[in-house]
Amino acid sequence: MRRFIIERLALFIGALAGISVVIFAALRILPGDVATVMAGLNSPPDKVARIRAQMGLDRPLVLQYGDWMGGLLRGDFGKSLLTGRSVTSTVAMRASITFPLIVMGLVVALAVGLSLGVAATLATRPAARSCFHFFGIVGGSIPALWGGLLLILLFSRGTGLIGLFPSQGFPQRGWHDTGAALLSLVLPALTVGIIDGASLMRYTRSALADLLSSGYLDQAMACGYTRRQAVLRVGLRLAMPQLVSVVGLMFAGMVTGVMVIENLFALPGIGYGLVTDLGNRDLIAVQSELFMLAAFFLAMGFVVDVLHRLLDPRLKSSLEGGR
Amino acid sequence: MAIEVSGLSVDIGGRPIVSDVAMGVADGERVGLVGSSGSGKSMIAKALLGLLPRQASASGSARLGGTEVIGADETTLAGLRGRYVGVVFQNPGSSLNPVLSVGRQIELPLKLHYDLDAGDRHERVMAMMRKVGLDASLAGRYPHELSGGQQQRVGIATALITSPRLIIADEPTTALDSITQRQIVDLLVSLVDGAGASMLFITHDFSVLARATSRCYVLDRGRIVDSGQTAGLLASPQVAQSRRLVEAARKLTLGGPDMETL
Repeated sequence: MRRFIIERLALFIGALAGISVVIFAALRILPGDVATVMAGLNSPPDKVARIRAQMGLDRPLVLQYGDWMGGLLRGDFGKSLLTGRSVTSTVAMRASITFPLIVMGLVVALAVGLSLGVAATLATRPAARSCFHFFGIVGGSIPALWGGLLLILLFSRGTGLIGLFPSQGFPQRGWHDTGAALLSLVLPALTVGIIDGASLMRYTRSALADLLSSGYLDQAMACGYTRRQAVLRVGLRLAMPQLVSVVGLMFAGMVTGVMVIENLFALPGIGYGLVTDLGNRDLIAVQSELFMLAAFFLAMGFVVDVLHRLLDPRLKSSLEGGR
Repeated sequence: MAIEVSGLSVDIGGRPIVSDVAMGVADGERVGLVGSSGSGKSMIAKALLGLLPRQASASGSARLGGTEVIGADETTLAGLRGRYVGVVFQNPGSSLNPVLSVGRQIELPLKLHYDLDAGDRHERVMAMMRKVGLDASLAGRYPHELSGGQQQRVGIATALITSPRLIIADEPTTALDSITQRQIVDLLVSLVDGAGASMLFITHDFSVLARATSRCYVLDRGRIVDSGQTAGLLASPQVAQSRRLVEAARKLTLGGPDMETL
């Protein structure tokens, strides 16, 4: 197991290094740069060139990349080309909105997806089964933007039918105002969570249905479990490796998915910031933000791989040379 | 524990799989149910155990030790399974829980039905493993780390750990090579007889049936078409379907149709 983790860690670091090169190169190929934005439209080329020189954008690309990487290793993401503020602190502030939002969304998705998935598997009445089926299809195919608007119309303070939650912005004092901060994330988290929860319900149901027609649950029931117990205690456990993959992907996908949500609910998170920075060609900020997202994606893959090994003894021994 | 089945029919999505089956197994008797694949044998076993797939519906009557199981609620069925009725499945590789060690697997029915402390359970599991010829050191292994024969011994130990009064064995040897098949059948027979339990042995293979049962029913397309003493049926099958199965067994096990004995 230790060897496996070390191998995966090496792979993780290698992939991250590769991605950093891709991000860096892609942003340099992008037409336009921050100097043009700062100098203003139709400004003389020598002014633009002066600004470029001030910012070090005329230095060889290898040196620029080296600076960036050196900074990253020290935990310094560099300074925003546009505002001169530390990207690290800006990103940290944005992440303090985005990551709690993703975690809350995931909690909603897990609660909705797993419980309804099990219920759909155990449902015997055709009407109930049709209801679950309907929710799985419709819930999973709602565009996030539309779903969010619907929730705003239903539950937002001021405009909603039942005014329960705020629908715009994040408290000025951030998490110092814990109650208000949590409340402002409820509707966005529900939007992400219900949509992903509907997909997770479908995955859960189909994984459990496969298991029900396999011999594993028959064997469990033959030992004395009822059908419900067999699904809950054996089925969910056996479906777990599969569900961990789905949830891992879902978790990673939410990072990009929340871009729309953050813009809809005017939350100054990473997704919202990334769109703004990209528009400004603030290369240092954008590349650091993209790098963080990529690192998060890869880290999720790493966690999923390790969890898989832990959850399925068959994988563990096949790796150790097998028996 | 006796089985009394009468007028048992099973439909899947309106398609009849088992039609009007009547059969019986007396206390302490070993009875076979033989038929080619797709004849509905396993569906009868599933109906007896309340393990029919959701799309299936069963009608008629099947009593295990006097308890009606057709239409019985889940709690009644779960109370029978693993306690009074032990089940050995066809392919232990795809029925034994892959994330449960052998010891825990065998222990499960005891845990579900009896109020014993962990030490007691462990002792019984160890004794059962010895009985089925599994080394005690295998208790911590996972099913995929064992051979097919060892896996089926685990299946048998799990079925017998609570000393049930009835064993339903659904093609328990089909996934095994012929030498292991004999060992497993002999083991099963000696354990069932030793415990004074009854057994319903389901197979498509007459040669296995002869070792395991004294009486048998022949199933074809969901209907019982023949029944009688296994030896007699094997020696001179009267019905066409029985003849076909006997012929197949002779060809498979003895390599030629000209041999008279099995």
